[in-house]
Amino acid sequence: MPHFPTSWRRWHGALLLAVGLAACTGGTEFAQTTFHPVSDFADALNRVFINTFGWTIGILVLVLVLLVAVLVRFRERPGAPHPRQIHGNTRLEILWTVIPAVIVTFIAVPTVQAVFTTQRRPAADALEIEVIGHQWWWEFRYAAEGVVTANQFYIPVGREVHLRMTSADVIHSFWVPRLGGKRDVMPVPRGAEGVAARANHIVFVASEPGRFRGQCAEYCGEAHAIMALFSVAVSSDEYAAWIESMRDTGAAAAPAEPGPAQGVQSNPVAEGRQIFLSKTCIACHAIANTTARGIIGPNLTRFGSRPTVGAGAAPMSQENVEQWIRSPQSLKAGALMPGAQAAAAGFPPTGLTDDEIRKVAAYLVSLR
Amino acid sequence: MAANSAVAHRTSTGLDSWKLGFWVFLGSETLFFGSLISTYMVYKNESVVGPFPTEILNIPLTSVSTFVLLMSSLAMVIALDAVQRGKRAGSLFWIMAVIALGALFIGFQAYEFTHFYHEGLTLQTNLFGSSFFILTGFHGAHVTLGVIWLAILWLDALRGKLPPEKSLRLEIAGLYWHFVDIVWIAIFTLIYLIE
Amino acid sequence: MATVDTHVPGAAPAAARRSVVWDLMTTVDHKKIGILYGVSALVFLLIGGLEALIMRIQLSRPENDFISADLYNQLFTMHGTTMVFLVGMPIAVAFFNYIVPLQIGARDVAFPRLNALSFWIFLFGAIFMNASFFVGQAPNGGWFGYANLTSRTYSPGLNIDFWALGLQALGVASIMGGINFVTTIINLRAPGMRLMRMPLFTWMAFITSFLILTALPVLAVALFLLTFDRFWGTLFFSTTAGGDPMLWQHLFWLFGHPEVYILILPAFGMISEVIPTFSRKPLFGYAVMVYSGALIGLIGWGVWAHHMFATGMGPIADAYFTISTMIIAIPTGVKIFNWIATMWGGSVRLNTAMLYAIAAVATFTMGGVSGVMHATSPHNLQQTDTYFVVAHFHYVLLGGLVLGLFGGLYYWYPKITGRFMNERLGKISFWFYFLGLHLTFLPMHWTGLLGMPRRVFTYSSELGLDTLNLMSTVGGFVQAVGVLLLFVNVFRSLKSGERAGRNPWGAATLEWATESPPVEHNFQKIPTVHSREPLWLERERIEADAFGPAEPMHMPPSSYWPIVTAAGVVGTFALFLVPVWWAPLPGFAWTFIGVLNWAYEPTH
Repeated sequence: MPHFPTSWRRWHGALLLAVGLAACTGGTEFAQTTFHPVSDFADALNRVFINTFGWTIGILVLVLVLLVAVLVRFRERPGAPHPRQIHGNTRLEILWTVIPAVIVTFIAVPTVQAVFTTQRRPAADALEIEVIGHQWWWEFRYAAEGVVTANQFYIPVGREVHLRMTSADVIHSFWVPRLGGKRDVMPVPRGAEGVAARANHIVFVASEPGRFRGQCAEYCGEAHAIMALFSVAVSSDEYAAWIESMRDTGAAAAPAEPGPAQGVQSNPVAEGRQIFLSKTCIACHAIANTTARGIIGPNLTRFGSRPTVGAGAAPMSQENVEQWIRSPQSLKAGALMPGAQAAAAGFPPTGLTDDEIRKVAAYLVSLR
Repeated sequence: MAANSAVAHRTSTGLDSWKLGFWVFLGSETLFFGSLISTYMVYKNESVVGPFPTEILNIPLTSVSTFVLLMSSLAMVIALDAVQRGKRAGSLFWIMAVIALGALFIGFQAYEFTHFYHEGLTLQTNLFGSSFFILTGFHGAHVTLGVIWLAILWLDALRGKLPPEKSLRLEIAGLYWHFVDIVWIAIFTLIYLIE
Repeated sequence: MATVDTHVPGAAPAAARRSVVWDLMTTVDHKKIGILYGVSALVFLLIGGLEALIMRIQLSRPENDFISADLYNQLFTMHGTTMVFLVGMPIAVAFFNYIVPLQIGARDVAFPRLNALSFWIFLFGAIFMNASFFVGQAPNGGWFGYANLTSRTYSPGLNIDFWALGLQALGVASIMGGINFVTTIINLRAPGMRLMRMPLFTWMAFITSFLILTALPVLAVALFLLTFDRFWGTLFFSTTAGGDPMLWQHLFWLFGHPEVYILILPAFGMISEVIPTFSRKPLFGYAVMVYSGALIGLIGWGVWAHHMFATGMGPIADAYFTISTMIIAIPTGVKIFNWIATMWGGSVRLNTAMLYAIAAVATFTMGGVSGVMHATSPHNLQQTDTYFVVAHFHYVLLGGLVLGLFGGLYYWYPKITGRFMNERLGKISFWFYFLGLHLTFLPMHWTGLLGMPRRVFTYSSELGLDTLNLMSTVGGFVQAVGVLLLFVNVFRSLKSGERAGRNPWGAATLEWATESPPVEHNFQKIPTVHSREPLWLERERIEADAFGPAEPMHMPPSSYWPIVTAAGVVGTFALFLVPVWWAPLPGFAWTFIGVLNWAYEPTH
């Protein structure tokens, strides 16, 4: 073996690995990176990290350099005298207690400041969105605007957003890394008031437009890994348009249009709508401006505009939506929605035929 | 047991290892009961439905049972003294007194639990029911174990197998007994007396 | 009357060999119990490692389907539970058992039968928990089992029952062990062995035992509350009744944070023995090393909610726990500087044991640094529940605990077996393990901050984390090679290792004033010490006592009541799985009978 001291080899190996990895903080090809903040909240957290990182890596480098120096200078040599039997040095002990304590202060002060600034009360005119975590999907309610949606939600750039978050079942954690840190969502009994209705809050202002991916970050059961969400930041005008397109105007309950003459021309989307509104689908699901008012499952208004089916189970497509309706568990093990043939979570099978499934899927995908 | 054996084991502190070890055990028991009591305190005003503590706790009655338990500790002190001095009749009488008073305390607890049950308070009724019964249940189980322990020592004394050289056995049972008593004082104060 | 037993493996006559099993089942000898703990822990290391490798295969590619989500969730739960409770804690206790009585100049621990009881409860409890795999319902709530996911409503199967009942039994074993070692260290020291003359490993064992005594009861209460909710319908974690899942988190982490110091302090102790011996200098700053260990143990009680920064405790609580967590980094850092100063000016011998010890210091420091990053609660909101945390704790545990432990193993193996482990194979296995460790966990710092949460059986290719995950998987297999080579070394050296004398390393502490392996009663006459480094400063007198004529002594006789009682204890917990209310009663009765016979068994 080359007679580099083993320490050098170890040090070089680690260094190479670290440099190689450092190159990987890369750009936004990492959909959930924390290194490219798009909000004031995420930015404040990153600044805390950079400060901490600087001081701590400095200490680490010092320790590693000292270890290397020890191995180089004090490696045993034949014939060397017996080492001086030193038991300690009080001054050194004080030095290497006080200096780290001072460094801790340099880290702690801006950190504690950030604790308070990032947990400030929201402004009076902040956009209030209620977030409810479910096994395994996300519900978003815009009370003032009369909008309910699931797994994808829109926010205006440049306006303060206040997320008030709870869970309908177990503890989940809401996390969109580019928008900021995560907060756990705690189960609150339906109809609870006062202390029992305690929620967690995130307050932030998005600084640039884009679609930002997030996912649940607290183990919540079988399908925890497939509980994605998308936050779409747009201009104020686009946001207003989105709200308008999502709102239930109360002009709903338009009866399903009579289809064309039987068997002549088929309009799968219209037929799918008719099937959807007349089958058990509406026991769980709601779509704005229709008779579907179910609140157990995700709201499906403008469902086709979402990037995925089943909160990240598969990309949005006719085929995947069909597969989902046929058997949700085939795309997401543990999903609580019944399939065409199989019951789930106490709900009986939907009994939809393949043809009906195709048409319902076409309808849902068309809801862009 | 090695307690008080003829070959005295040298120890670094001069304390018998059994006694030292038992004190250490009681230290860990402090954290056990402390966590149970903290759970009760955290949930004290959180029950959604009744019965609530003020409606159902009988302070006069529980004061009597507390007094009974305190007297049992006094009896334990006297019992230990009797054993250490080799007084057979006194040992038998006073150990039995501890057993009787301890059993009487359990009797009071059993009465209280049954009464609460008939008033509609069970483990599953509300947070008060869950935390109260589990806390006092664990305490009662400790007292019961203590009574059984003392009964075995009483039988030993009866057969002449508890001479002064073996008094450490009773002393350790006494430590346990006093500890369980002190835990009760904490429970009585925090659950019954403080609003 | 003591039997002087030279205990050379393989040399026993046929009749004695047949009763080896009986001997092990009834032994109360701290050395044999130490070996039982050690072998068991190493077996569970293999099982826990296998669980990890299967997980890493699943994660080697995005959207992989090597195993199902359900199986993955059981594996990550059992991997964590196994590594913490069936490997980390027992291996420390293995060394406490073997080494501490030798280091303080005692013939055994204070309560030899209680010692055996702890081991058998541990083993039966561990088997019980792992038996769940055979019914396909291994624990699947994470090693931390957060309410209310663990409620009967959201976890209807037996998985959580196996977990809660098994862990409860293991906790009993640990508490019994804590009582034993605290009493032993306070009361059974050799004449002249003042507390501030004890070897640092014994000091760390002492502090760890106090932590065990105080932290495990809190876990016991948490587990009881969960068990009663699941079995008897109590409402401790029922949100509809006003219960609060946060209560579980507070209780669990009040246990859980001291637990990580329970895991690491023994390894700190081992490192503090190995480094001075192979620098041929005394430990630098002995008193500071003792006080810093005690401070870490104490402050460790005040930092628990840094595991809960994302739960919304409010800015004041967040700020307090940020500060307290950073404060605990100071005594930890002090230790690192003292180890470096020990080697500074010394004559450093880089054998396998020393390689492990130094690598432990370096790797632990890397983990400590990410720990300080975690302490900053605002950015913790990005780090928590991601692979960044997985990176942190594997660095401190594999770095500090496992590397330190392997160093201790190479160091004390000659004492335990009378033979050296092979140095060449040792160094090869070291490099595989060390490089594998970094290859697995260094990328995870990036994986986490690039958005991959924990406890996920798969991840989307959109995250762009395919390569990083693959690197970690490859690293896992490299580590496995290192571990397997270590095992080969352990077993081969038993038969063919170079023979070692009484003090092959020229070390300073009392355990080296015994035969290798020691006779059953350790020392012919308990020596009197007048220094911290007795074999460096007073060797002749000490060895004259240790190897001279035997003094009158009494050795505790073997007993089968500990194993019988242990079966009762674990059996009682296991019987809760049977759905009739009186099912545990036979277990109670069995335990009671065991204890009663134990209490009245003659020991003289």
